[in-house]
Amino acid sequence: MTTVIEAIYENGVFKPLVEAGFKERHRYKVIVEEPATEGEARINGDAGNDEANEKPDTYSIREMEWLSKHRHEYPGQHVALDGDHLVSHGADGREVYRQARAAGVKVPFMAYIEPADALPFGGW
Amino acid sequence: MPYTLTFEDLLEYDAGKESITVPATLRSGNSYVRVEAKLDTGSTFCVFQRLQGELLGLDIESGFPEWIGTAMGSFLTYGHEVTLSVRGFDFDIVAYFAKDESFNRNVVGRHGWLNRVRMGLIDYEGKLYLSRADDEI
Repeated sequence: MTTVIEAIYENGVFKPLVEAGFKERHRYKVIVEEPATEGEARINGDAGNDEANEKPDTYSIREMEWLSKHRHEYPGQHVALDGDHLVSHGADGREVYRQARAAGVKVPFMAYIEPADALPFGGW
Repeated sequence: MPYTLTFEDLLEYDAGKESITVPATLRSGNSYVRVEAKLDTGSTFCVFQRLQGELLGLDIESGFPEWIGTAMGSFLTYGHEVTLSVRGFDFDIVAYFAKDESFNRNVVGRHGWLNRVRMGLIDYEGKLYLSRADDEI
């Protein structure tokens, strides 16, 4: 079985950036790959595009509940959610997504919160 | 004469918000994006932010060009074949991605979504009932 995670190298040790459920003192094989550079403007095709990717939760119930409760706190911003957890937020959707991926979230739930003074949506 | 319909799923949304929104997942190949999308029965197509298409690895401008008309003008989109999932209902559709990066909305409209489902809406209760269009009533 192959599991793809992101890890950080510090003081001679690789530390996983996500809870990967590895067994203590179990021997694993590590294949090291450089991620896209942080300054890269384009993140095309970065949406969980790895062999181990599985279909994400399409119900997103906890994310929608989070939006109901906290939407008003982030006007004019993009938010990236993982369940009922806010992973990143900001004015730049690309950057918000990149931060969520860097935090180990494979398929973050993305939403743009309309500014408080936004006009009502009139359809097209 | 009364009519009775049955549905497979109930989505409860925040009736206090300006729009009816649903969680939408797009897939292209092995890539997925999850977004909040407005439900718009007046929209002919399903239209998404350019960013979402790019995250899926799509070359946006290589899609089918389609101008979308609005009450005040028009904007250019490009159509791509993707799989749209909402609440476990999966459909292969042509989704349209806005050329303009400043376009911040995701909208599920008629072709690709509304014409694939049966829907019952009680807006004052924030309830959206859903079934596939070909499910038994």
